[in-house]
Amino acid sequence: MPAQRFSTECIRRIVYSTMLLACITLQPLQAQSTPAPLTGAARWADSAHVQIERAMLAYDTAALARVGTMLDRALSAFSNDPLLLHYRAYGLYRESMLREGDGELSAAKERTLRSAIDLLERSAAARPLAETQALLSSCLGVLAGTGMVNGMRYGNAASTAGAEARALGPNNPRVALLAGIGAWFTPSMWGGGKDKGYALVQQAIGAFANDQPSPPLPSWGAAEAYAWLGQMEKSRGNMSAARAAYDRALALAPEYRWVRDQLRPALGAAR
Amino acid sequence: MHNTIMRVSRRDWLRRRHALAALLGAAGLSVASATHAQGAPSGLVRGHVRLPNGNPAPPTTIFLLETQDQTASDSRGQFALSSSYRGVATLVARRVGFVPAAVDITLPMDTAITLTLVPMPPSLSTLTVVAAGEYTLGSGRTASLTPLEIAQTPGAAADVAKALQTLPGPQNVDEGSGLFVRGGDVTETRVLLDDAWLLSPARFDNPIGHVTATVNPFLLDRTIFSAGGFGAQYGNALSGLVRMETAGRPLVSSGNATASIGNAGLSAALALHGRVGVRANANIRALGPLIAIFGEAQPYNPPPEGGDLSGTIEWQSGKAGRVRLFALRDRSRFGVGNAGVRSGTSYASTTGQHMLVLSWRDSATIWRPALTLARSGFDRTESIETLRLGTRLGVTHLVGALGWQPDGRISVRIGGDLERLDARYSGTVKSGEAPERTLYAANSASDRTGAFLEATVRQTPNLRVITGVRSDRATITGVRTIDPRISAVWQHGTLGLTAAFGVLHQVAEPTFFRPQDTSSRFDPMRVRESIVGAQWGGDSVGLRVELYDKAYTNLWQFAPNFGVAGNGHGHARGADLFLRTRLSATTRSRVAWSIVRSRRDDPETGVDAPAIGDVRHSVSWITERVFGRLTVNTALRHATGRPFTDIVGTRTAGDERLPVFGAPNGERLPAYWRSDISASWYRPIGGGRAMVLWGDLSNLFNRGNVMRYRWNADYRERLPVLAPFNRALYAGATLLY
Repeated sequence: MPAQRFSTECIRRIVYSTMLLACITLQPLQAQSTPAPLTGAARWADSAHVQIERAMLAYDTAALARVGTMLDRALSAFSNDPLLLHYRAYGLYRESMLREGDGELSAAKERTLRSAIDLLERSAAARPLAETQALLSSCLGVLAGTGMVNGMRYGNAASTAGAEARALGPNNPRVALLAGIGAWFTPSMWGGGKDKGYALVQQAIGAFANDQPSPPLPSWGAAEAYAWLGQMEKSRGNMSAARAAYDRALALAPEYRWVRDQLRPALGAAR
Repeated sequence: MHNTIMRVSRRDWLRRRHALAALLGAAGLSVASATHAQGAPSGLVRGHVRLPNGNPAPPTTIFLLETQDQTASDSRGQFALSSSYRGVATLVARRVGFVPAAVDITLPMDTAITLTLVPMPPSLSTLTVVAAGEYTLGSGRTASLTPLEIAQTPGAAADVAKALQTLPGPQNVDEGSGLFVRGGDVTETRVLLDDAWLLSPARFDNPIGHVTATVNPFLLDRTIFSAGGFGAQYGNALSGLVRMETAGRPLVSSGNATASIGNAGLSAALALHGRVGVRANANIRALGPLIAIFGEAQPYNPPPEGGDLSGTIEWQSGKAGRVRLFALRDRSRFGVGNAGVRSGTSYASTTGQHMLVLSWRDSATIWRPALTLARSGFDRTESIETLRLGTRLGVTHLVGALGWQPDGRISVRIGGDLERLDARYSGTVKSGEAPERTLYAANSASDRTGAFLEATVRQTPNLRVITGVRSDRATITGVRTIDPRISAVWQHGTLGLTAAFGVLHQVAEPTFFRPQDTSSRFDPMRVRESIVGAQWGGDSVGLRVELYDKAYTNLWQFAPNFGVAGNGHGHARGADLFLRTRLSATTRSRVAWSIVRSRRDDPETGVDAPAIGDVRHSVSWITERVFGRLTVNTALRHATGRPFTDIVGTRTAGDERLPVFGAPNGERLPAYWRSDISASWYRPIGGGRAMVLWGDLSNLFNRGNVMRYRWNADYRERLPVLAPFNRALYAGATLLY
C-alpha cells in the first residue's frame, strides 16, 4: 500500500512538475514558432487575401464584391498601402475572370480591368512586387487579346510588365502561372503558344513546392495551377494526367467549385 | 511510523500548497476578469487626437473600420466612440489634409487612446493634363492616336502627317500631307525624328497638294504634335512641331507582308539578342493600277510611284539606356497636267530623300543625357513645261542635352544643337532645239547654333510650370535671337487648365536669301504667341479647348513672280476643339474642329490680306466601330474654302497677254467635303500566323473638291482643278507571322 501511495505521489509530482515546466517553457517556445500577429494594414490585407481566395474557389462573385467593399473601406484608412492596393486589384482581376461571356470584352469587364490596372500601377509605384507586375501583365494581356486595336494599345505594356515580373521574381510560382495562362491564350507570333504555356505552368507547379511567403504576401495559386495543368493535359490528349491534376487541385482545395463541378466531371470517371 | 507520519504531513503540506496555489491562481484570474469587466459594459472608446507638436487636432472624424461606427473629436481633440463590437478592431482618425491615423485596439477597452494626425505631404500624382498645343500619336497611355489608329484613319493611307491633320490645329488647305498649323505656312512646321531634323521642304503650291516628310507609323513609338507652346528645347520652328520617336527594340520576333492595289510591303521585327533588336520596313508603291481602274480627276503622267526602305537597330546599353541607329531612304515621282495658272501646263517631280540618325539616351540616374547625330539629304527635280528646277539640301545635325531630375518636383534641362545646312538651287530652261539655258544657280551654306535652358517645377501638387529660354544664331542671318518661353498646367481631378506664352524664331530657308541684295536684312522670322486652354476627361472620353493669338514679324514669302518679300507682318488667332467620346462599348469617336483668322502682308502688294492658311473652319470627325474581328472606321472632313487670288482682267505686254490679279487672297474656293470609310478584318490562320484583310473606300460620295483654279489661254474663263482622286476602293491583305 505505501509503495502504491509512493508511486501515486511520484506520478502526481511528475505531473505537477511537468505542468509547471510546461507553463514556464511552452510560452517562450510558442512565441518563437508563431509569427507576431498582423496589425494595421497588413491585418486587413491578409484578411482580404484569405477572403478573395475563398470567394474565388467557391465561384462566389457576391463574396468577391463584399471583399472589394471591405478593401475600399480599408483603403480609406491606409490610402496608399501597396498590399491593400494589390489585393483590391487582385479581387477585381478575379471578378473580371468570373464574369460571364469572357470571350468578348464587355464594357463592364473592360472597366473592371482598367480599374485593376490603375490600382496595380499605384501599388507597384509604392512597392514593386513580382505578383503585382504579373497581374498587371495579365490584365493588360486580357485587354490586348480582345482585338487588333487593343492588341496594339496594350500589347507592349503587357510584355514590359511581364518582363518586370520575371525580373522581380524569377522563381515566383504565381509569376510563372500567370505567364503560363497568358501564353496559352496568346498566338506564338505574339510571343505565346500552347507549348510555352504548358511549360510555364509546369514550372509554376515545381516552384510552388518551395513557396512559403509569409503573410500577408500573396500565396495563392497552387490549386489553380493544377486546374490549368489539367486543362492543358486534356488539350494534349493526356486524360489520365488531366484527371490526376484535377484530383491534386481538389486535394489542395476541396471547395474548388470550378474543378469540382465543371472540369473534373467533364473528364468522367477513370477507366 | 514517524517517517510515515512525516511523509503524510509533508504530503498534506504539499497538497495544501498546491491547493493554495490553485486557489490563488483562480482568485487571481477572477480578479483579473473582474478588473477587465469593469470597463467593458460601457462599450465606449475614449481618447484624443493630437498634432505632432502636441496640440489638439482640429475636429476629426473617428471611426471603427470594422463597423463604420463613427464620431468626431471636439475642439480639444477629445472623442468618445460607442460601439458594441468585440475583439480586435482598427480605430481610424481621418481629416482632409492629414494622413489618416489608424491603430489596432481590442474591444472592449478601458484605457484612453491617443491618435496623432500628421499633415499630408504634397502628393505628386501624375499630371495627366497635356501641355498647351500638344497632341500625341503613339502607344503611350495618354496617346491621342496609336500607330494602328494612324494606319486605320480612313483616307490617311497610313501617313502620319495625314493622320495629324485629323487633330486640332492643322488647317485643311488641300489634299496633300502638308501641315498648315494655326494659320501658319506649311514651311513653318518642323519635323524631327529622334530630335534630328527631317527635311521636308515644301516650296510651291504642288499640283497634288502640299506635302511633308513622313515615316512608316509602325517604326514609330509615338509622334508628338505641337500646334504651339513648345518648350525651349526646340528651335527654328515658327508654327508647328512634329516630334517622331522611333520604336525600341522588339521583345519578340515578328513580321508582316502587305499587298494591295498599287502597293506592296514587307516588315520585320527581330529580337536578335537580349539586348539587340532590329526593325526593318520596305515598300514599293505605284498608283497606276488604281488610277486605271477608278479614273483620275487630273491627267497623271506618270502616276505617283516610288519606294522606301527604312529600319532601326537598337542596343540596350544599360538598365535604362539605349543606342539606336535609324536609316531611311525614299524615292518618288509623278507628273500631272493642268498644273499651272494657265490650262495645259504640265508638271513633273522626282524626289529622293535619305536620313541616318544615331541617338543615345540614358535615364538610369537623376542625370539624363541625350545625344543625337544625324545626316539627312533631300534631292528634288521639278519640271514645269520648259522650266527645270533643282533643289538639293543636305543637313548635318548634332543635338545634345543633359537633364537633371532629382525627384518628381523639379527637373532642369540644358543643351544645344549645331546644324549645318547646305542648299543648292538651280533653274534652267530649254526651249525647242536651243541648248539648255541656266536661269540661276545658287549654293549657300548656313550654320545654326542654338542653346537652351529649361526648368520644370511642380509649384504645388496641382500646378506645373515650365520656364525656359533659348538662343540661336545662324550665319546666314548674322543675328542672335533670344526666345523666352513659359507654360503652365493646372489640374484638379479630371479638369485641367493650360497656358503658354513664348517667342519663337525661324530662319527662312536659304532659297529666300539674296546675297546680292544688300538693301534688306535677312532677319529671322519671328512670332509671339499666347495660348490658354481647358481640358476635361481622360484618354477615351474627353474635351479640349484652346484659344491662341499669334503676331508675326519678319516674314519671308514668295511672290507669284518667284520674287521674294521679307519683313512681312502677320496675325493669327483662333480656337481649337478636340472631343473624344465612346458612343458604346465598341464604338469610339473623335471630333477635331479648328477655327482660325489668319492674315499676312501680301508679298506682292504689301497689303494686309488673308493668309493661305486662313481656312476659317476645319472639322474632322472620325469614328471607329469594332464588330468582333472586324473594325470599321469612318471619316468625315469639312473645311471652308481657302483663299485665293482671282484674275480679274488682262493686260498686254508686247504681244503677250498677262493677267491682272484682284485683291490678294480676296476670293475663296468652295467648301471642302470628303467622306472615307475603311474596314479591316483580322483572322488567325494557324501556325502562329494571322491574316488581316482591309479595304479603304476613299471619297465615298465621289465629290469633286476644288483644289484651285486655272484659266484658259486668254485668262477670261476660270476652270476648277479638282482634287486628284475620284472615288476609289483601295484593298489589300497583310500576312502577320
